[in-house]
Amino acid sequence: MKKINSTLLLILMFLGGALIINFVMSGFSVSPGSLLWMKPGRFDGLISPYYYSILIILGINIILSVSLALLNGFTGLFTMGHAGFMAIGAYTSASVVTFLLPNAPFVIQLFCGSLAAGAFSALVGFFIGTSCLRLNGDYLGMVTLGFGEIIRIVLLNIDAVGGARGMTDIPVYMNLGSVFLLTIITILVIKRIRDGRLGRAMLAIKENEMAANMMGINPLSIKVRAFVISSFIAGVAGSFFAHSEGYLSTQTFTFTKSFEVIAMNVVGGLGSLSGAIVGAGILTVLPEGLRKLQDLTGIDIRMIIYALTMVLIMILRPQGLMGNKEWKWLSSK
Amino acid sequence: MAFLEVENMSLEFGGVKACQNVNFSLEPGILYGLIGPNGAGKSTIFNVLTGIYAPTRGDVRLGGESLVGKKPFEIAQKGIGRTFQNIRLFKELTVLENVMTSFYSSSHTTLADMVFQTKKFSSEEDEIRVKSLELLDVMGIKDLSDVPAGGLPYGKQRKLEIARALGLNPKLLLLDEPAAGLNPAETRELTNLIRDIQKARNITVLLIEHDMGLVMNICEKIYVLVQGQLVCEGVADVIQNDKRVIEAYLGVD
Repeated sequence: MKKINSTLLLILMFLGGALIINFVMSGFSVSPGSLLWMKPGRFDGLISPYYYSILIILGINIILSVSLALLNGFTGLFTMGHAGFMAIGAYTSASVVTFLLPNAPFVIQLFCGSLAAGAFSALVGFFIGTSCLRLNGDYLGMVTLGFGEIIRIVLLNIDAVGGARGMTDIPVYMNLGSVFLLTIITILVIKRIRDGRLGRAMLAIKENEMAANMMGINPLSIKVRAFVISSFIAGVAGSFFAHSEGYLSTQTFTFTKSFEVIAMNVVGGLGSLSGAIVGAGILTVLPEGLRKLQDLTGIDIRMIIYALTMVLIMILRPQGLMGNKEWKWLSSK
Repeated sequence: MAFLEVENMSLEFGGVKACQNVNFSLEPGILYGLIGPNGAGKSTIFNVLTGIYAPTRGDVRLGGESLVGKKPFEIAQKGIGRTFQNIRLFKELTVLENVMTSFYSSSHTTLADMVFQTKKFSSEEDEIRVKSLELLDVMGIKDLSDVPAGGLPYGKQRKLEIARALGLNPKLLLLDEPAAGLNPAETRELTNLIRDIQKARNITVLLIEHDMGLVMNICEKIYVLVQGQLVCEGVADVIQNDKRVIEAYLGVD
């Protein structure tokens, strides 16, 4: 009982944190809208709308990055189709909210939308997982890359969700507080999975599949579970993305997005949860931060520096910035 | 009453006959040795017993139940633990985590238990941790429990592999060259350890070994495999004086 209470306490604590963030960000407004779901209208709080939206993207990228870490870093399944799962989640949630529940209260819309997004994405993840699990290494990467693109092209050709025009008028519900809350919860969920017997089995399979077999671990079932959990979370991240932007285009979910998420994992350190977070932070903030430099110098050197930074990190710290290390609050001890 | 029976087992890879009509049976609670020259098919027999290879012909039964066609992890869950000739540890995991991994199939926490860290989760984790530390204590490497397994010296890696196999609580423990690469002192220590564990837990052990001192010293019964065929079985004295065994190891005039 004590343990459940401490989990509840933790969630309440973060909920409090989220409310405080929203309170400050909305310029100390106490209306329920600004505290719970609306993006602040007047940014006389702390920061400009531009930085505000970067922080929201940062949260979503962290969720994506840690969900990929579960597949890529912990289970050792190299997949390149994460953007596909995110796309499924984004479009599913947007469709559920706009077509099925247009008049429901926002809590129900967001809850049902995210849940449907996660569930549908997990279902697709289950099918992709079961059908490619005899593949290893680069081959699995290739096939998942293909699946990711198939998902995108299918969405591009469904006229009901806007097709090539993109999907517009999606209700915007995510503000900084709620993204913060959901990011922290996702990180904790993944940490706890890693520290349980399932996580140990995943790591064992990554390290030595044959030996894992001899420990009575069924590698196929663990890999499918990793796929399902990871695609569920990626789907939910897609849903948050849809409801923070209010607009969806299939162009967002090309394989470059998948590679971006992989790069976050690699830069931070494959196999480290803290690394996935650090990587997401760097690869989200760096390209935006460099805009200032571009404004100052008047030369378009943003992408050059961005690319150089990545190359340098790979040369100087091939194991990633965090390597195998974890921050204390994320370590298993 | 034999609890593991291998009956007319043959394994062929194309034209290569790795095992031919191998027949043997193991009684509970006895320490067996399996010896033979290089390439005789000793490790292949281990791979058949653990389900990595399916025999071309014949049958393998554990407690009367056929193991042919079972997946390796299913056979492991039925109580056959093994170590490998070329050590296969989970190198990045700590020593303790390596052993804890082997409790996977005997634990029952669900995903929800893990996510909400319920009482069931923490009590089961504690139990697994205590049991794992006990096993490490038996093998004499408890003080290294937080070290990554890949960083252990070779001899200790061998011990860790045995500790990990014991975590399955096996009825039959297969040790593939446990003393390979160890110095004489380490070999003596490991020999005693294997015998003590086998007696204390009353399990059946089948070990492959090239160190004849070790084999003759602790094995109660020895099988000799030459070119995929069992040529001789018996106690150490019988084996040492068997013509075919001498022929296989030393050649003939």
